[in-house]
Amino acid sequence: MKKTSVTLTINGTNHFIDHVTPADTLLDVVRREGLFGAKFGGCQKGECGACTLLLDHKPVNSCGILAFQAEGHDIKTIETVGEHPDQGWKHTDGLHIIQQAFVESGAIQCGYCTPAMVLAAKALLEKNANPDEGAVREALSGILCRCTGYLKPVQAILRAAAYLRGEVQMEEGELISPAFLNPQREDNPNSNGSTSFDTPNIRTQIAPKIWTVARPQVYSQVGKPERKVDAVKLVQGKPAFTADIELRGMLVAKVLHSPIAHARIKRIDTSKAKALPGVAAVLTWQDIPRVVYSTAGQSDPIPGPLDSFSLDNKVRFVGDRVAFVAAENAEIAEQALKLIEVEYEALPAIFDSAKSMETGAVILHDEPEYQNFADSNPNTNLAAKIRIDIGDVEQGFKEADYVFEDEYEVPKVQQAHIEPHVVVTYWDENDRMVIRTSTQVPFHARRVLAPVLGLPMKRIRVIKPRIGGGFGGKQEILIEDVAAHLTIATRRPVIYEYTREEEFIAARSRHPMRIRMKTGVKKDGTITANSMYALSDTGAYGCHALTVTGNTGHKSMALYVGDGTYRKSPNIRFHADIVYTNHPPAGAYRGYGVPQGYWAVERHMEKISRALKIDPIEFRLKNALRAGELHPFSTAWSEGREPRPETIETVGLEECVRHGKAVSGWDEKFGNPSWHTIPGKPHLRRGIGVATVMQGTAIPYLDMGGASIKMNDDGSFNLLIGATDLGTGSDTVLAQMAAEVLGTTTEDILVYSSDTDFTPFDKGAYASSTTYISGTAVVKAAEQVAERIRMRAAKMIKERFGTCVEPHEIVLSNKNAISPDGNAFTLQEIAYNALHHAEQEQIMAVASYYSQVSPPPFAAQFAEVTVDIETGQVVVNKLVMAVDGGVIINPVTASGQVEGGMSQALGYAVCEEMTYDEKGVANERDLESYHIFRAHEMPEMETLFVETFEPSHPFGAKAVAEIPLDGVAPAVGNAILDACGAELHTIPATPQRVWEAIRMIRN
Amino acid sequence: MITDYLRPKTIDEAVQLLGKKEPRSIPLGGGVHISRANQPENVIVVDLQDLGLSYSRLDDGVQRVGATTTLEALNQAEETPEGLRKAIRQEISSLNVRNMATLAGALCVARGNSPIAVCLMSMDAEMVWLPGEQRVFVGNWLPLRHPAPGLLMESIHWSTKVDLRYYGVGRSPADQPFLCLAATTWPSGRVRIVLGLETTTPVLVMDGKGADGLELAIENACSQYSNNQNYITETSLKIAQRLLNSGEAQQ
Repeated sequence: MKKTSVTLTINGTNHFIDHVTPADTLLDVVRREGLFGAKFGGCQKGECGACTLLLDHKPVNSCGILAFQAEGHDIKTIETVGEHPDQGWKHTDGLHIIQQAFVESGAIQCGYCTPAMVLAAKALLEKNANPDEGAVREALSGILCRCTGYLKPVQAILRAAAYLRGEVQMEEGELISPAFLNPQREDNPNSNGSTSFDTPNIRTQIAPKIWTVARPQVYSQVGKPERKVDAVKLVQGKPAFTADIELRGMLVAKVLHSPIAHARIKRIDTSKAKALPGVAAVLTWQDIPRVVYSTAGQSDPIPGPLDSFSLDNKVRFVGDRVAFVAAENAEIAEQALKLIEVEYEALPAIFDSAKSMETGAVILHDEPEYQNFADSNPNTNLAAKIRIDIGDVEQGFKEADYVFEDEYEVPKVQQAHIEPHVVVTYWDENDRMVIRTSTQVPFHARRVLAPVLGLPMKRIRVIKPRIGGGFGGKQEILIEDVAAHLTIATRRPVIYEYTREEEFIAARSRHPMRIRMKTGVKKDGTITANSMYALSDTGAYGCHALTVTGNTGHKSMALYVGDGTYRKSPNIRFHADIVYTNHPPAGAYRGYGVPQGYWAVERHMEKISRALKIDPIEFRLKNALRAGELHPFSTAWSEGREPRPETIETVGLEECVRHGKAVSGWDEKFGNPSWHTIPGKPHLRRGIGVATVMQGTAIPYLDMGGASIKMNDDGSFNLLIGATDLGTGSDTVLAQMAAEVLGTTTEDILVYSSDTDFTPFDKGAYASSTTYISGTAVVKAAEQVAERIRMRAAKMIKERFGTCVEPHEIVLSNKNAISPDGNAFTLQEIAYNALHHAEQEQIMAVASYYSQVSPPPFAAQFAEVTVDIETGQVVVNKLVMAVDGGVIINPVTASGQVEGGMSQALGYAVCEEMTYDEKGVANERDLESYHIFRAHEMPEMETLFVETFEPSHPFGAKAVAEIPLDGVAPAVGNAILDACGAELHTIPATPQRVWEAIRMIRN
Repeated sequence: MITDYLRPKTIDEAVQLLGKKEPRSIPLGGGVHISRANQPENVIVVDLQDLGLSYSRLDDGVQRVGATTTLEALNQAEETPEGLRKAIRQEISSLNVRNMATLAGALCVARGNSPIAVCLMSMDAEMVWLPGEQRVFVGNWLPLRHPAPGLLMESIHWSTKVDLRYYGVGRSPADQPFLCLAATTWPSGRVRIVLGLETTTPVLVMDGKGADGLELAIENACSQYSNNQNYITETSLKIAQRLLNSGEAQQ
């Protein structure tokens, strides 16, 4: 008789579990048991490790073990490791020491892989109480993290080990302190090393070094490494994510993806699939309304063509949608997909972007509903076209002593967030469609989906739980419609979760581009004209086509304006064609077009400086934008909207270069022949490279964020924001800013984000905007609340102490409202007074903010490599990034952004690439063939912040989230050049490409 | 689709179950591949975990490893040659997966660029299949695999009185290599070099006394590989030379 039940020993208790099939994995079963700490990463081969459990005290992937296999073994999940310290009258031991160390060390970003890391650490420390960093990294080797760059998790585990050995006492509420360096003090003892943690075995690198800028006042919350407001729940593996929910009768959705790159669907027969027991619905293009839209999650009007349908009678790439199925479980849904009969009429397909616009090329979008935006033209497969000319570029070339031209190429790459795209939809008791989704753009999702679903916007509620990483991939209304259509069809809750393979074949990616550079320079290194042409492959649909590629030029071509008279009137050209092909669509990916541009610009600048025999750093700084100058593109382009001139107020680039050089040891290494060779290893060469970069902070005149703050009886506050923390720590940073204004602590700000029913509008998490835009909204709302508190406090002081004080004289500090003469009321007393005692009112406020400027952050990126000149292998040994992100609100979360960004960019530099065969079928379909860096192969990384005070932000902040993606690849490329003379034009720098480039010089 | 799960307690029982044809039964080692794979047909899985085939022992200069020994256990075993450990860690860089994956499972799914298969083939390792204790060299079994010489792989063994050197080239330090080589030298002077590429099975470059004719042997071995042949050939030669000369192939 077949087994249908299993008894598993989970967390020391025997669980008798019924209705288990032989194919059920351990992950399936533990999650069914309500143990949601083990997460699904969508993978087929256990590549990601988000599902880690301890089996007989060893970390294993529960997705790769059958439930029956685990019978008789000891299973431990995160739910048995520590708990919330405060549970009312019930005593608890609180968090496990490892969990505490993760919280304190800022080791948690999105938190999706955190439970897995904690369990892996536990297994390690049970075996080895005194591991070195290598052992810790090896222990984490089975768990992919796309957010942190592993640096802080590794340090957290070393810290926990020190606690467990009793070498360090754990202090309640202890936080990691960054090294604040005064720029005037070059002799600062910390200036040539990381801050050290006070045990002999740990050289912690958790906190960055910061060269601070003068602040208008002393801050109590801003600039402090406050712990993340969501850290405690994430480190416990609480059911915080979209899929961590069970609804009665929930169906599982699956999508039939096209096996053909370009075809019309001549016939589709779903009768067999519908007849399969357990299938609740099968939908094709014939079943749902034909509504054209764009999947891009952007403000209205969408700055791109409307060229997509939920389902169409045509498929345009391998992986395009053909049909939706909802069934009682995933297995039945998969079977149903196989029973759908589809007859395709194959059409010619285009995979080469250069051929897409050729006369006679097959047209991808011949549907009459297509809606143009700006210069898009479906008849020539043109999703967008950009022609920007600033100054007189041709005249600039005439004035040059030399003109340098070259071509560069960048690949299509995947965001690879560890939580796949996932959505749950259901009708609530008011017959409103609830969409619980892992999205960066809940408000855009609601707006875009309303017509697609045929529902008024007000009957849709979008809830964003925690997001397990997004990186732009979730700035797309990618799968919400699938589940919602099926909920409409069945009236039942539906969950749709991408597999990792679907992430590769059907989700979005970074736009691949071919870029031609032409630059005129004088002998002294002055740039007289700079021109870029980008041919960008948007794939089958034009989501983000215009804006991503616009940013390629807008940011990378804005940095070098030239020197002397060229500073006032630079000659810059940026032309681009963004074409349709039959590849899967590209879209938003952290950096948003800018990393593509900087690969070309920074490799080109390096080449020019070396040809002119000018120091590459001097050459860059000579021509780089300076404070007080006009952003050259601000007069010419604004994402398809009216451009408005914008002056750059703060530029910390020179300081970034100076400090980055010192920390990377540039002067000892660059141009030093003895450093470039390694004694006894004649096949190895060392090299060091640099890139300087700038990004933007939000989109001016467009991005808007709202915030609502209300005061509670105990003097705490609810902060409701539409902003979406996708692991970046933005909820924490916004809470810190609110706490600063309200004179309270960050932990007394209870943050809720985001729900279209309850939180104010926010454009969402993109364009490096949350700290700046949503943060200013929070500050404005907090200032209004603070004003109400001061007014009431003034009244209370007069009544109690008989002294008259003006509200503006009252200072909110340390949870008190304090008058100049020292009379004070606590915030709780004021809240009680307002809510219960006199002239009762709810102290609360709502505010919003949009910006008229987009102040750019700047950075200097350094990379050190070793090249094997016989195999072409490149090992990146060290990355140092010095960032001017304005005033740093939270050094630990900000440095986490930089570390994680650099590690993503490292993959872009050396190993990540999505390729296709001649029929457009993806070669990379998992995180094995598509390699992202693991903990035990990361280079040394160091983050420096060089503050400037950006006057347009209440606390002087700019952005840090995207700029780390920009400089790593060119810095690595320049380091390879420095090491062995190889000129790379294409990334990633695979061994073969490097080997061929070395061969080119030898030939 | 997995339709049934069976966990035999004895080898005889396992062999009997694995002999079932309708529906087909397949052996389950760690489960890494089978548990998640979308099986095209209905299959019964026969879990081998209770058969006592997880061991590594040294018998008179021969390392004998049970088929269900996990790769991490093999990586940690003192008697495992360093070159093989390096190969194990490069084949599966995830500790989690190494804690689950078995040696037999790794060999069953090995492709041409499998560092473990390359090393075992280079060491001229031998496998034992049941029933009947059928012995077959890894290098003879890998190219065909089907029909297997038995129903159940019981163990694999190799001499430890050899010098195994291994090197792989990947896109990053922990990436699975697209090119790897193993060179084994016996005290007798026998040298056996195996090349791993992205093909179905590793390629024997040479096996004989000394390394004369290495260049030609590498050229021959690479000749059937159509992608990037110049790069593959020249790089393979350099690595082979490094392995034979100094063993200092690694950075």
